Amino acid sequence: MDMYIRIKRDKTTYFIRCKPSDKILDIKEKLQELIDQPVNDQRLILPGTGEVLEDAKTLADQKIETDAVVALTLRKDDNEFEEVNIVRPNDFYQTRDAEGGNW
Amino acid sequence: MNRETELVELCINAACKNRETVEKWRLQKRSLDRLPSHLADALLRRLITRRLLHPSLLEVFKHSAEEVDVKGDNSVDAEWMAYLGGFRHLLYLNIAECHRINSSALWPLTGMNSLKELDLSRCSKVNDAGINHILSVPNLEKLHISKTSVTAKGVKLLASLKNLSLLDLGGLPVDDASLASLQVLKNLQHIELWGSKISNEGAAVLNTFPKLTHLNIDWTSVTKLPNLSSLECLNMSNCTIDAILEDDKAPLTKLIFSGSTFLNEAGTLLYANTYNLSFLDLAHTGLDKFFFLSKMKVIEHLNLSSCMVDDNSVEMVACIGGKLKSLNLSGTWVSSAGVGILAGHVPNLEILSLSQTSVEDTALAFISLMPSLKVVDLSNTNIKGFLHPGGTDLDSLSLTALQNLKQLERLNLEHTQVTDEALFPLSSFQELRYLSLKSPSLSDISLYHLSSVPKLTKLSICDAVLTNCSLDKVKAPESLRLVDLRGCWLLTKDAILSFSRNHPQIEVRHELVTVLPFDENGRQHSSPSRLTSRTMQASRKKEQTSLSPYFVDQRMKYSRDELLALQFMSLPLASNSERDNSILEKQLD
Amino acid sequence: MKKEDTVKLISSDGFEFIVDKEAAMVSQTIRNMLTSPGSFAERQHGEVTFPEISTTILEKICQYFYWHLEFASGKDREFPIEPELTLELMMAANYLHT
Repeated sequence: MDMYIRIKRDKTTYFIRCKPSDKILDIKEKLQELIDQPVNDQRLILPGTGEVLEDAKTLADQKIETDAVVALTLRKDDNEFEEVNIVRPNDFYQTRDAEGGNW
Repeated sequence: MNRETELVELCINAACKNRETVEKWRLQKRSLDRLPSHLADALLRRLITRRLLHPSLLEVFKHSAEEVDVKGDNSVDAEWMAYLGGFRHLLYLNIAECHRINSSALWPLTGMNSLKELDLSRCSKVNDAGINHILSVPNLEKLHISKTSVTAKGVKLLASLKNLSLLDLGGLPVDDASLASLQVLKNLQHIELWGSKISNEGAAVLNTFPKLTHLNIDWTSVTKLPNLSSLECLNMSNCTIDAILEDDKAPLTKLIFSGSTFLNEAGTLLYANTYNLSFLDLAHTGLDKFFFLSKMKVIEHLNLSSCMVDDNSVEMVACIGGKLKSLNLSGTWVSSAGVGILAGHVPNLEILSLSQTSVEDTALAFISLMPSLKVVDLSNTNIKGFLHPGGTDLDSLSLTALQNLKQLERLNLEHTQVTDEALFPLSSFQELRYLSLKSPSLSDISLYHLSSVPKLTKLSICDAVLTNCSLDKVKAPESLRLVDLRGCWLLTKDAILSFSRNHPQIEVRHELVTVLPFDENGRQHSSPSRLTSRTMQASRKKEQTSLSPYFVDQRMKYSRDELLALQFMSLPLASNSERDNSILEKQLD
Repeated sequence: MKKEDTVKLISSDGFEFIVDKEAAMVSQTIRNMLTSPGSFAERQHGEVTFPEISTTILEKICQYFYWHLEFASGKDREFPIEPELTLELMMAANYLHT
């Protein structure tokens, strides 16, 4: 196994196995199998910077390494994409977040 | 699954990294209370080995831990005991060799209803007053108080601990009267009374313990034992043995008589029920007849070291060799022909010692017919490494025969006459991990041969004439972890330190590294730290080329004996430590 | 990647983690749930709920599954464990036999 990334939306996390040479489009096609949403209705975003990942670029291009977190947003009924929404659990990291720690 | 990659193991590692990591989890009271006991015990064990445990940290385990073993920890004192006394589920507590523990420190043990086993061995400050605290641990089943300051009077008090099944009173002045007062302990299965004052009179009451399976009366004046019908293991080393084991019902599995004298020779063992015996130690008993062996069809471990075993007696051993795993014939009269008698009869033999016998190279071919051998000790024998005098071709190298032993892990050839050339076959021994050599007739060539043994882990090549140059150039096997170079008097401190730097994973033992600097020629080198590695290499090369011939000169000036004498004069500490080692080994035997 | 080859692991507070079955089976407990004959609801729906395991810990467990697969294929990367998590993670790992 080469690497995996964690794709998050709301309270759900998808662990996706992939290769550094995989294009963002490849990742979206894998997701399509799992969430029944066509590739065109998916948008992948780096949660730290808000950067939208382009279909033609590879994970290596985007410096995405194993265990990285990527946010998933979907196209809404009004044809716009929703805002990034990753719900954080309310258990251990309360104190850590308060201290400015991240995950 | 590999244990190191198991998540529980990774968690314990992460938790016990240092004091800071410990502080981060120790406040999680709810988690600690829910921790299953086997996890709590594993975490505690790691904290102890990493020396991160302290009394107030103990507190957090009081609802979860079942086992605490702080044996030999000198920081354990009354404060630790105060916390341990609050452990509600503790089953096992080992505070052996905790030298700060005294009788009053044991007070918190009072009323620990859960405690089943307590080890106070060698806590020399614990005396009869401490026993009074232990008496209120009502469910105690196993108690170890060997080599404490408890007296015969204190031992008598133990009679009230009715659940005791194991009692270790080794090294205490237990007398006949105090043993007699313990007769009420009907659950006793295991009693250690070594070094006590028990006489035959006291030993006579041992048959009132109906469940007795293990008895150790090493170093006592007992010569006779009553019928002990459930006895399985008996240690009567260093005793004079008159009448024992006359009951042929005792299901014996292990007998140790090393250093004892048999008044009626082998008769004692002739009548005992030894059909199920798996372990017999008769080292240094001076026995010369071994008819009794014929009954021991399932014996696995047999030690006849320093007995009067000759080649004829070896036939007795061969007859019961089917299950034998270890056989010690060191210091006996066995010759190569005797080894030939064994060959083919010991298919499971893993450990064989022929040290201090007259076996020579022809024995190696017989040894090679013992397919399971892992450990072979041929030290202090007449092994030369050659089958014919003067022969140097590969076929006449006798150690070649041992290549048949596919599982050979340890080989001891110390104090034999093997030479550099004779060691060549060892280089292809695939499983060899431990090799011991000690001879002034070995030189750099040996080191070269041995550097290609693929799994070599510990190499001891003492007293050899190794040069700095060879140590510098040798390509050590990756598996190597320890090199013992003691007595290699030509090596200089710089060369050894340089070797250590180049091979940081290898522990090196030599007089110059651990003992006072020993520079026979009074040479001093500039501190290597100021030199770049290239100039260091260059200077080292120069030093070798200029010094090597000088050393040859040195060797020619003296005879070997003179050189050895010189060496011992200048290294008193080394010979001391060697003596300590040999004492230790004797004790382990 | 097919949906049938994945399994949904649900934490005590309802967070969901979708992982490859191969990864989840690093846990002996989950392997038994998914493979043992009988009418395990887990087998029918490819879903397992862990009412005793918090979200943070369950995510760490999933990360461990994948780390373990990486490790088995020869990658030598340290598995990071924050000291605050060690006790809870240890208990979950113990329960999951991983």
